[in-house]
Amino acid sequence: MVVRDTRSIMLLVAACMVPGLLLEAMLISPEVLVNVLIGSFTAIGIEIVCLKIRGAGTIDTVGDGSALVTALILAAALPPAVPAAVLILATTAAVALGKHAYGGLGNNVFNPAMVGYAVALLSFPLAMSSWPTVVDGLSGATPLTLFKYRSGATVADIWQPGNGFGTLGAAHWEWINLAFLGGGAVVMALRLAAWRVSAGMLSGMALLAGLGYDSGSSGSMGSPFYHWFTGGTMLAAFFVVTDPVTHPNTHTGQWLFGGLVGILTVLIRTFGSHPDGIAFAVLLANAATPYLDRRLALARNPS
Amino acid sequence: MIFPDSFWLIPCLVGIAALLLRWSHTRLNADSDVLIDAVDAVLPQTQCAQCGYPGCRPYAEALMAGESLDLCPPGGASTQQALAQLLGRPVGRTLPNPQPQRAIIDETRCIGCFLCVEACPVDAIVGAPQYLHTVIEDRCTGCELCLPPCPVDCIDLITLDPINTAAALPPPASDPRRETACIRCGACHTACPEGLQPDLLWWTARNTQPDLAVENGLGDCIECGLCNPVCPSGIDLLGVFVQARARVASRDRMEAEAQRARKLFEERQARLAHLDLIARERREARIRSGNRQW
Repeated sequence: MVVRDTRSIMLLVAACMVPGLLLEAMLISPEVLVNVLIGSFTAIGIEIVCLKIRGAGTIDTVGDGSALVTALILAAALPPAVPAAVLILATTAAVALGKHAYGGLGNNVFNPAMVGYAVALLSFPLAMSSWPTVVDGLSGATPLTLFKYRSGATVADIWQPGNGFGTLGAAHWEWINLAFLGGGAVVMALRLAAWRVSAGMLSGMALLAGLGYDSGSSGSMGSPFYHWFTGGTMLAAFFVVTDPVTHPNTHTGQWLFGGLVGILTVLIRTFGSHPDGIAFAVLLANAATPYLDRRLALARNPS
Repeated sequence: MIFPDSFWLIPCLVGIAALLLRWSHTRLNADSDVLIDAVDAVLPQTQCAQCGYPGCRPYAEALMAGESLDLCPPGGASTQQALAQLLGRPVGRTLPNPQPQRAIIDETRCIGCFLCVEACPVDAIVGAPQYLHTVIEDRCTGCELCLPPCPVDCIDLITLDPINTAAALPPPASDPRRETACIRCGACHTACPEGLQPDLLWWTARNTQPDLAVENGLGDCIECGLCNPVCPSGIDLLGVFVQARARVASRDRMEAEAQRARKLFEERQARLAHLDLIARERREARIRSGNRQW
């Protein structure tokens, strides 16, 4: 087994996100690449400022690459046309509030990127839900929103190419998700992340979506494929929940954590009031991580 | 109307809660015995009376009444720190950290005068009048109380090697240039043959929470060092574990010794009180019987 240092792990993970980001830029909007640039510069700048203020660690620590991964996740998850100010705010919140406020890399309780996403989503709900529609080029609701508020139509009724749906999930989004799935496969093949977390999340989603599919009736929660290949599912499953700092380290804990994220995501997508529930699902499951780790450690070693 | 009509209830409830807290803080004083016990537990239990009080518990009582924190040489700086934290008072002048020591009797010079046996607060010296005395090494706390009464200066103090104390160990052999933050990747979990969570142990041990580290299985660590080479952050886990285990072991040993010294001291106090009582009863009986021959 090859032992890599933290920096090469982070940079390899970032490299595995590139295909998905490129595809998103091609299919949705090239502004994604601009966001990647703005986000990366902001993240690294804020990282340097925070390290200076904390007086901990040298500038050398900036090179651990975690800020870059955070910036890439945010650039992929935020709508491409989001105002630069919102992107900068989200990135700043992610690095400063999500990571350095807790004492830097390794000490944070919540996933920094999802902290940034949640801050931006709650502060600027409109800017955060305006995605360019695939069909007419105007900005509007995502297929996820369309699917949720379909007012009694069956899945077959709403699932039209004109509404922005494809074969597996939403049009284009299925390809982007497949690209992130491919990148994720490389991450797992290189043993850069815990596969049990990703597997747990996808199984949790499939389980709940499978139970709630209801053969595509008007009350259907959507098929497992729909949930897997729409929105940011694959991005989250391989690049967000796999953040080693905020997921449990016991094997059972990783399955439970992943399953919790998957189930909460489907629940928030179906019953919640936000377009995609992944950020909140991840943050809620993060809060359960210390409990899972401690509980399982004590179960092994009762004292 | 931004606020509901009942909005004024909130400040009222906050005020009532604050008054209740204030009242409970002043009226329901914490049980002072519990506090004295807590202070007593921090003291080293040598019963040496160097503080000017006849034993550790009397000093604990005096501390609760406002006595200064810098009167305990056997406890040294670490005890001062613990007391300052417990009582929320300044340390005062800092004492040096003590060396563990034991008394030893030069048996060629001992005249069997029995004075040191009476002076020992923990019954660590055996002997009888006109017979040779000797020190039970395990019981002796090195309090020096036997030195002044000895008329022939036949008692010496020897300094013990601080075996198994953290101070005696070399610092962790980590290379600070390469060590970066733990990202909880879990590689050490896979490597650990004991099925421990080395990152959790490292975190708790490093943050000087030895009890938490023990609770999470520090005692099960076999110090094999398999976690070190797999760490992507290059953290010297083994070094931290070795130090923490030594610190816990030495702390446990010192606590056990302190417990025993306290028990011996309390038994001795009870015995002396009992003897005193018997003597007084006898005297009173004699006075009552009117026998005043002497």
